[in-house]
Amino acid sequence: MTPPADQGAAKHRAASLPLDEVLAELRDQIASVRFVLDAPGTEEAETTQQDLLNQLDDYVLPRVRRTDSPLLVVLSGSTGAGKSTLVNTLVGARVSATGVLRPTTSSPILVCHPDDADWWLDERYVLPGFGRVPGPAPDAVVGDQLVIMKSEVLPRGLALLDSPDVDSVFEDHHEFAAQFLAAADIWMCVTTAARYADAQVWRLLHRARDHGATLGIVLSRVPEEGGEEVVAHFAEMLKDNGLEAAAQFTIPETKVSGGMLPKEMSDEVQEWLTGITEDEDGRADVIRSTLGSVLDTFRTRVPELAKRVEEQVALRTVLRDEAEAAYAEALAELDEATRNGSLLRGEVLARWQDFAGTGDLERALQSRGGQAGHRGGRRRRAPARVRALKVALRSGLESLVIAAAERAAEDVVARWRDRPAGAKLLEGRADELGRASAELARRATRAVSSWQEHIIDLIRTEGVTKRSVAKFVSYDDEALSLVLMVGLLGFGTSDAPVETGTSAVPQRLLKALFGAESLRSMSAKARADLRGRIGMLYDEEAIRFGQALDGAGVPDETTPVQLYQATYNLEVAR
Amino acid sequence: MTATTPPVSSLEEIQTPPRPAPSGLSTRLDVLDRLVALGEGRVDQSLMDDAAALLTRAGERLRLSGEHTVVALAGGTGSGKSSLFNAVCGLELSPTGLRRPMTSSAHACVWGLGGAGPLLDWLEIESRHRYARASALDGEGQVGSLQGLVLLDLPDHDSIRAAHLAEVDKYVSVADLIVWVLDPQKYADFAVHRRYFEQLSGHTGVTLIILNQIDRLEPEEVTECVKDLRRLLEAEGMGGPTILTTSAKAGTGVDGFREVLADAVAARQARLDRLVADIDRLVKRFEGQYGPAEPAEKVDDRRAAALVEALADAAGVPAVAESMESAYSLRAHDYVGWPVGRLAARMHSDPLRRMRLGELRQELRAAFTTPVNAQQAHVDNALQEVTEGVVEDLPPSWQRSVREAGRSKAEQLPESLGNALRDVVPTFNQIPAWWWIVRAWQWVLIAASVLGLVWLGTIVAYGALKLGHAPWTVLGDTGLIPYVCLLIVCALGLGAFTSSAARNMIALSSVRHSERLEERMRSGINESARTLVLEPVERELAVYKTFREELSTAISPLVH
Repeated sequence: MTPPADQGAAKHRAASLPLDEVLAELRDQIASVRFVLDAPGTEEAETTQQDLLNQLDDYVLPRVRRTDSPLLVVLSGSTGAGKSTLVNTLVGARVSATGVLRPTTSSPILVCHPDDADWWLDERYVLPGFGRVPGPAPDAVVGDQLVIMKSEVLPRGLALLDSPDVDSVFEDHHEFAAQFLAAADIWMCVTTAARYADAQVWRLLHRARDHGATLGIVLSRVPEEGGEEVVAHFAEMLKDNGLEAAAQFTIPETKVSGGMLPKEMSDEVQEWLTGITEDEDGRADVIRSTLGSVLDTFRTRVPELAKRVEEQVALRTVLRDEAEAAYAEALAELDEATRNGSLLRGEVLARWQDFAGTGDLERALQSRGGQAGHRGGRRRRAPARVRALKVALRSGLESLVIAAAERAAEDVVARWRDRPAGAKLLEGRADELGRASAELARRATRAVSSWQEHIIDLIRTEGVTKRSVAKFVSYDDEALSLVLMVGLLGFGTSDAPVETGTSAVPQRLLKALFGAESLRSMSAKARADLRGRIGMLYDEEAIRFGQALDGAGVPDETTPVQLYQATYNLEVAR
Repeated sequence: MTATTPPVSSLEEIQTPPRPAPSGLSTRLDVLDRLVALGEGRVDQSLMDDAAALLTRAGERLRLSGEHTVVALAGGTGSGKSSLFNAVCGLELSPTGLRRPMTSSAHACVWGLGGAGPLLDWLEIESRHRYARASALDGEGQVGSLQGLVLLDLPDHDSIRAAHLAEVDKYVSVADLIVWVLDPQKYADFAVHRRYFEQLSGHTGVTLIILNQIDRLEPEEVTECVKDLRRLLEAEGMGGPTILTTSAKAGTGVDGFREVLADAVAARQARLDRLVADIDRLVKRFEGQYGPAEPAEKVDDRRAAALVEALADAAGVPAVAESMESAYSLRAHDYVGWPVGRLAARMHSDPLRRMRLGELRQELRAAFTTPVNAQQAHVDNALQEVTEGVVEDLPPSWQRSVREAGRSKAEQLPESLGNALRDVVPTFNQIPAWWWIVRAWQWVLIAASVLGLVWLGTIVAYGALKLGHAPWTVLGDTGLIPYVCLLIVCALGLGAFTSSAARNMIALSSVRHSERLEERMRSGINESARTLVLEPVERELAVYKTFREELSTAISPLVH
């Protein structure tokens, strides 16, 4: 028997995949997430998603695949903080343009040792989204091209990236800066004595802290008089924000010549950087620590993302429920309208009166044996009245169905409009979705006529005439089916008096013919059938909203689970 | 500080944009007031709220001292607002320093305190941050008089203190003249351009841009910087911005700034210009409410007719007419039908009676002419289409309001339609005189045939059976039998003939009746449609038309 520890280890080995495969898997999972429903926090979630992707693509995956690749130091910070000047000074040559115009640096410049140039020029490794241009390059290079400059001064295995600013009016700079930072082994945040309290600077520093990067903070342009106060205040603020562990450097306000500071100003920074690269252990430490802290942040950031996805899923359910609730209401409304006699108005009532009052109703009942009195002229008219009543009943029901559906559609649109997510989904479609669908009228006609047919069938198959009556009375199925419908829709099943004077004529007639028991069962069946048919119609109407939701590509319930799983796999693989 | 500070021309360039006529403000306020009144409940609520807030603010500001001009110094942290404030005041009133952010609440300095109190209260400046300067105390050799200036030193808008941002927003939206203090490090910052400058395109006249700290730059760098800044601002829609360059530290350009302030204060115009610019900016947001074309004044005839038709169907007019026609002819038959025929019909077996439901027939007949109300669902569907043609050219919010106006009285329609029908019914329950005549004639004929029968009986009794002596010979003369039979047959035949002739006449007149009935019901429905649907729609269209006209007077000067 193997000791339990061994067993655990074996299990562990079996479960864990190589780290890069797990990471690639995680990357695909994250990339597949879509935030289509607007909700508070969605924008942040999208940023988080993009950050995670950038970090995986630009840093984690390349770093995990090759630990011996050169270190990337990214200089980031406010416009006018002197990033380019610092790079120039560190390299000892004017590799990046400096000046008084803001923002100065628009194309990112990467400086590396000539031996490393091939590695950096290869787009497959780090920052795969960026093109490469061997420097020195003309000014016209666009932002998504990395200009690669060679410098003998830099040690092997170290590259400096002069990133665009994070706070100028050119917003695309902010995006590139964020992406470069995600790819960095070491962050150098550069700010000035005039800016150190800017909100934007602190946003950057908080990100650095949250990403777990190895961080160097440079406070430049510190005036001679009163400078200590600023440095002390800044250090205090860093401490309050949990950043006291970062390497801090101060560069005094000074005369810049040839795009460079006096050499001694950057000595401290230089030493720090060289110290890291030259010492093999220190280098490995930096890599391990940055990579480790980045992966640590995944522990919270990926589940955070998954939580947002869960919110999306929940939001989708809410929207779907709202659509369904509106149609359920419409169905309830219809139920009510077919019970309270409101259908027996207008045309239906007039047709019914015509049918009942002229004696056509009586003629629908015939005495057996004797050919009861039919005057020729009336006889021809009788089917016309039956037909007219049938049509009136159908169109009355149709109107009811359509009006309730229109209201439901409007209702859903209004409810969705109240939510930012719904409002966005409705964009450009509100007019179409806010009305009942074009086919509804046709479908309603079909549903109601087949219901009417169903009633005739019911009368034929279930309408067993009472024996006492059957002896001497026979009846016309179609006309009787209309009496049943009027009774059902106009007067309901209850005996409640109805506003019109005809009281419960149909009921009494039917009861006399079929008996109460049989009538009740027929009524219940007819009502259930109508409800079923209209329910189906409304389901089809509600589906349009479901399709709008599905078409938007809202992630399903499995996505967050997969994200949690991928995070767990990552922990196992580490 | 190692940078040298050579003397720089302090006043870089001042462009004075053409000032709008001072009368423009009251017209604008009136128009905006009317727009708010007309658009309330119809136009997008946030726009309405903003407009109402602006009207309130304008009213408040106009009531407060017109002798004072409120100038706010705004800018990023560390741009030197407070230094500039102190330089203009000539005293160290607002604390300056290197720690960021420095100023955390607004400071005010007033030249000529008379009447400024309520204004400062309105601005919510804490009294410990209020300073007063008498113009006479101003140092020697300073240009212009600043009498009437209220200078505000604002906190920054871009530091980590989020509360400052709200404070700045508050003052930036109420000050008469805003001075943005930028510095060479920060002049292209996202925070100031996106949040403020992009909204200032119409506010060039009441905005002043100052590039401070030029002592940090070489002269040619200053020119370059100003050029770049101007390019940025113009790209953001600020035509011909006024840009001054100063160095509060070295004192360069501060006199120029004071001069600009003195001019603004002396003109007493900034207050009005500011409100005009605000109103113009707000009115521009109304642009989406301006439809491409003049709205229709009324629903076109075709649609109105279609509506009446649909409502008539909803009320069941054809059905009612038909059922009335049936009722009419049934009733007519009661009067003019040949009673003998009716008697014969009653002899037939009656299923209803046999089902002991005989009384149902009476009920059915009684229910015949009860009034019918229209069906709500029918009505609702009829109303869906009516506004479609007239709303096409309307902005979405007005489309909604016109549609709602069309449906506003939908609940009342069924009853109103029912009443329209009901009013017509009684006249058709009248009984024409000739029915009575025909009826009398029928009874005369019946009487004649009964008499004939009696006569025949007496002839048979007296003449043929010799049962007694006939009082008159005519009663016993058997030779008269064929004539008497002929008489009876004639009377019965005449009766049948009269009845069928009357039936034909009734058939003709019942058709005529139902046509007239339908016509009158339709005219009643037409009236309901007019008062309950078309008129509300037309009223709403008229409101939009007025709104659109007001808007066009407000917008047209802004468009070109």
